[in-house]
Amino acid sequence: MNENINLISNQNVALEKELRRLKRFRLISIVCLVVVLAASILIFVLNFTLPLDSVKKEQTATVSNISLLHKKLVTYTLITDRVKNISNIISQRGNYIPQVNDILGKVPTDMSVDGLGIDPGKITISISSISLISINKFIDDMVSLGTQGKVIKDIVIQGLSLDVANNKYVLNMKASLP
Amino acid sequence: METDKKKFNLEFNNLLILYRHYKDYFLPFGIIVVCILVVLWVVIPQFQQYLNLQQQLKTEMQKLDVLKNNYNFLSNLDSTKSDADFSSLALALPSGKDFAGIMNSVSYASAKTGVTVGDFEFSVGSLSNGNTEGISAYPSIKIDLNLISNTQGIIQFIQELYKTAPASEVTNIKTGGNSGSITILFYYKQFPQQVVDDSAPITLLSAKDTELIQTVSAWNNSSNQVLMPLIPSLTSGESTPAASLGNGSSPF
Repeated sequence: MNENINLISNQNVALEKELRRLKRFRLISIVCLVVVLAASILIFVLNFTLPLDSVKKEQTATVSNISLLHKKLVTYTLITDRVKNISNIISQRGNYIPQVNDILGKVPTDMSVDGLGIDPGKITISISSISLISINKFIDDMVSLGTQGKVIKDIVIQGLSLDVANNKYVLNMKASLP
Repeated sequence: METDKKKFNLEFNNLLILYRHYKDYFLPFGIIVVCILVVLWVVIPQFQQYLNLQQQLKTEMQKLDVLKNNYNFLSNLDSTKSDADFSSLALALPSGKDFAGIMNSVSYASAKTGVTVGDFEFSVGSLSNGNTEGISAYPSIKIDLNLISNTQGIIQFIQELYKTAPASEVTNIKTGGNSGSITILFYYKQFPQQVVDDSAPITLLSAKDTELIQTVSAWNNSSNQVLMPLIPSLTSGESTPAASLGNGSSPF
């Protein structure tokens, strides 16, 4: 048999291969076109449908509504300002009354407070009693308060004297306030 | 010359052959190139714009929420109550030197505790410099007050004063026997000068703040009833009995 007789020539196979490649290339280009077109339309629609303008219009409308209530807003702003400042003053001011009450609460019933002085950061107290036992108890209580350090600290007994005319003992104390 | 012409013809023929061979590829190739260019020049910028718009929309929506909240809050705000609250707070912390308010507070505390107020002396201090004592951020009026009472009575007087004039500070106390003297600073603060921005979020008052307003309003309502005469008189009779004015507890 003659081997040169071949109905399907090599050239036809190459042509078919070429055609298939061309077909694939066309398909890819069409897919690209469709995808890009779809993406473009989608993004355009998305951009177009974002409700930014309507939100801004609504903002303008709300602002104009609020401007009708501007007086209320000003009053409320001033209220918050006053409250903030009053709270600041209350928290920052030196309020020694609780400490004084604590100290006076420790004074035995048979003692009397003859004098009290408070300057920023320190307190002086003058008490008198006919009984040294009561004075001793008061000193012990003050030392106890001073040890805790919450009410007073650094207690100094300035003097313990006898008032002969009134027949009573007088105690002068000084302490620092925390 | 002849050789050059032949060479040119040959190259032209080659190109022609190549063109004929690949001409079917030109259209798809062109489409792909155009698609790439469209993606680079249109789709990607549009997408970035979309993301930016999304971000902008989010911000604008937040602003709108703030505005709506502000509007709802202001619509529901009782203007009568807020006016009354403001008046009470302005009495508690005046915007300027309120001598009458100070005397009212002292008078009310005196009346409620039964402590007799003796001589007093105002010192306004330097109008330009800050405080040398007390809280330096706030200007104040200093008053030295002589009181006729024992130590307990003077302490009660100070407690009552802190209720009626919460923006005050007692800096010095001196008692001895049946009299004493105290130094009080009455703070004041100017109203803020800034323009109120309608679109700024409204800070809601906390429960503690609301409690403070209620307490101050309650004290003001009662303390306003007692007025110390602003013209000095020689009589120094007994103060109004404390029992008739009721009792109030102070958080301070």
